[in-house]
Amino acid sequence: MAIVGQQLTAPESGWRRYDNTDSRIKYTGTWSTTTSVPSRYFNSTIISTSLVNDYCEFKFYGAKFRLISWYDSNISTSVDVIIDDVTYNFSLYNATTIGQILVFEKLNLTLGVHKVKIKNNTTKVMSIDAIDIDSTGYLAHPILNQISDINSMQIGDCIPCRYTATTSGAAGYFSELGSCIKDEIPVTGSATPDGLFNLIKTAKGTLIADRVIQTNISWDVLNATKYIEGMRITECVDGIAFASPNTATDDKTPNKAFDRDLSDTGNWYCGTGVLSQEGYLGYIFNNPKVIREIWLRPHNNTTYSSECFKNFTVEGSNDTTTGRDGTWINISSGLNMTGIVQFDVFKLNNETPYKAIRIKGLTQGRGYIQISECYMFSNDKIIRSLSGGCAYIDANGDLSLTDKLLGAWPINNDWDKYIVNSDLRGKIVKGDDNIWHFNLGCLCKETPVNSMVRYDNVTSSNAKRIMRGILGKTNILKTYFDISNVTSTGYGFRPVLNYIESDIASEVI
Amino acid sequence: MATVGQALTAPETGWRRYDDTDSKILRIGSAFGTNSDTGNYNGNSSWIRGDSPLTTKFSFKFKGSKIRIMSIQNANGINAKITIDGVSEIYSCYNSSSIKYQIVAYEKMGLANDVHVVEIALNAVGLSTQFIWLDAIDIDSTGYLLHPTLNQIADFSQVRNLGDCIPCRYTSLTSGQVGSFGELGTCIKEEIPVSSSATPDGLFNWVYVGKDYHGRKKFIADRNIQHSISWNTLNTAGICSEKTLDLGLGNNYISSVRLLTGGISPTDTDNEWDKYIVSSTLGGRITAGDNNIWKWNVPPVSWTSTTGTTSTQRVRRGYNNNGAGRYDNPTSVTSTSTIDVGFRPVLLVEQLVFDKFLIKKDSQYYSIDSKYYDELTHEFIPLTLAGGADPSGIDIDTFGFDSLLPFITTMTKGSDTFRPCDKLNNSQIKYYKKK
Repeated sequence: MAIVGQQLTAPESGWRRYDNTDSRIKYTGTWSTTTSVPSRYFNSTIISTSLVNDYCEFKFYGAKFRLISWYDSNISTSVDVIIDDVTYNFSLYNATTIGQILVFEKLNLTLGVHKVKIKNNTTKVMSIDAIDIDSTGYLAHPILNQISDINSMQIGDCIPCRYTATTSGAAGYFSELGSCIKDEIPVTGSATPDGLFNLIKTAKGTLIADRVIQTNISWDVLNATKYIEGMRITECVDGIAFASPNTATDDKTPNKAFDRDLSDTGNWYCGTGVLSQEGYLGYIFNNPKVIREIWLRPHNNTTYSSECFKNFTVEGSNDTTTGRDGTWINISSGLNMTGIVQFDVFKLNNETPYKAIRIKGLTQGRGYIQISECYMFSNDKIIRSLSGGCAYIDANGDLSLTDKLLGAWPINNDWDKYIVNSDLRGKIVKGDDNIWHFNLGCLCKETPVNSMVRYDNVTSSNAKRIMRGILGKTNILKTYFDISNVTSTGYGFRPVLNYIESDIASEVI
Repeated sequence: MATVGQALTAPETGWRRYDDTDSKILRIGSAFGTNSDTGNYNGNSSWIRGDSPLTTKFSFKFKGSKIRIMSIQNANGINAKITIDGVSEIYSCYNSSSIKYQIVAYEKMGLANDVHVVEIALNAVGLSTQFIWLDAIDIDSTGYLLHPTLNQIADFSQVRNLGDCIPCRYTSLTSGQVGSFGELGTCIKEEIPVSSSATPDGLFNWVYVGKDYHGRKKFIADRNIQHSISWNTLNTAGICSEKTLDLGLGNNYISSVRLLTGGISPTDTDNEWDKYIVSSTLGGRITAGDNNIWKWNVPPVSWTSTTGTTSTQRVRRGYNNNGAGRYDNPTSVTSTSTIDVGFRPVLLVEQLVFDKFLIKKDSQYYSIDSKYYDELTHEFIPLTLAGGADPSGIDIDTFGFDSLLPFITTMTKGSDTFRPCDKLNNSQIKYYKKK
């Protein structure tokens, strides 16, 4: 096990390492990045300050922390590390210059979220090369309140999410909403991202990504994937499984149908070998949910796959406690599984939230019903692109064909309304680059109006689409457009996630 | 003053006339047809053939106190049965000599000035060569036809349920230009024809289809309100993105208008046209895709905001005998065709902040609206809440009252005159600030 003063060019077992470039480390003061001695520093870069009281800060979830920096003979001799308001001090002095040194460590913290501030007390160089924390831990958002359950979010909170796109120029998919702890997608951009980004709640039912999650992708490709106007995210709902009393008591519990393990041989089965007995399988949710889609897979041995739900009913209840009691309302009937070993997809014409849903049918074959997988989906989330206006705006709030440096028109577009002008109910400074990461521009939904002229005298056309944030954090009002099939390392996809909040769920189709 | 049996080619003073083609006259059943003789009002008159089932009928609702039915009368005419609020009378479409047009075949005066439900059917089954006709309907000049099937609301704050509709006026006097909206809830003007107009000035309905992710109430226009207008023109008006507008609802509301999404390809059914117009029963209140509600089976084809595979074209939906789901070829954003391109807007209304009150006495909740007062027991009725023991957001919307003043103000219902506070004494006032 490494000790302070030792070189540590990679995290030890049980640790994970974040580079100084991670966007969740917030630097205050005058910091500069050195890349001139790449072999000395972790991931070739280090960030440094030589001013008194300059600091960096971050939050992490975990129980231990290590700072990786470098030793030198002409360096800061007094650095404060303040963990949850307790201050520790150390020096970076060493006669010999060595990089990737474990310069500070604190173990045995209570497992939880900790605030760390690292401050320079001298006019000599203090640097951050990397930080190591628990391998099961993660950096949290440095400013915003980070939440793992989307239904608990208030405006100004954020939730992590994973985005994976393995082919440059092609759109990817979203996963791990609320649970992602992977390394981040760099705010400087990636054409083939696979990592974490944050979604920030800006309004009811509305989360906006805190960075461009993919570059080198065109508006046309995003549109073909429905990520411009809205792609429905098929996300599984969680719950507690239950089944009818004639369920087998060995290892054929209803949990076997909800384990989301496609490779296992575990099934739920009910029945006693008598035909046309009624059996049911269901889920009780922690909060009433609107279930719009159910996937069912029969026994994964084709010999028994016909012992599945045929001519079945889907029912919902708001007063059941065990799944076997209470009043049940018919949501859909006359549905049939194919009896082939595959997922059968059932879209329900249901808009009502229920505390529990069950699938009810009669035994088949040798007198059983056997289900290997059951997925329930609310399909209440979509991913789309931001609106950014279709023209410039003038001082009267009217359409302008030339840039008045006041933003875009119509005024209520997402970019101007939330990213430029919202302080998220006092939680941020509006338009803050630390929140919105304006390193890259983003593709927006709109087509520029005819005769709109860009700052560089290029005129709009019907084949072009609007982009915002192209010119960095000092030009966030600027509006740009380019042809819809063009790609660039300088702009890309910044998603919005819209979801149905529970208080209006029964009023949304 | 005209009398039954007389020809009346225009409504008299104090009356207004609706043509048989008005979409607020519903046709139930089949074997309807049109007589296109020029003597008819507006050159056409609808008929039901004599051998149709007796369930074949014209059906409409009007607000007013008097009604006249104008009809053809000729040797092939037989008796029609008109039923007003469940009470039936007969009128004749028969005339032994040559064909007569725009005859006042029936008249009823002195009704209560209220909403009346009217049906016109055959009085008895006849021959396939016989007919009853409906050419025009005259009612009070201050009256109006209501939506024949949907619940029509006049006060926007009362819009609650999927399928509620609210009339609105749209006016664009210059072809190819976006016009203006007004008279929300109060418009009683003649309708914009279901086949739309290049220079519309008339009534259409906003149909409530539920809330969007932001909690805004979403409405879809029940027809194309304008044709011969290009997507580019709509874009320059902000409508292809989303444009706020003033509908006279006051500072507590923000209203905006945009286009529907239409699917990036014919197999992409995850879009607003498919979700609402093709597939939604609006909470069981309509048959999904009903042309009587959505009027898609007539040109023009509606613009959507969606780009398909060609970046200079936009997706259009509607107008085809193949059903509500028809996905037309996307067309150029510059097209201003009369039948190929139409403007069918979406309305979004956000309510900003509102105060709502309920009264709680013991463990029950009460509203002080007179409809929750029982004249027999002389008491307010405890509310049945969707939220169970305590009101949910929907209960607050449904039952909550907006001001405390009526709680201490004398009201009358039936033979009872009282102040609600006296009926609900020793109670708690519950205040909800909804945002």
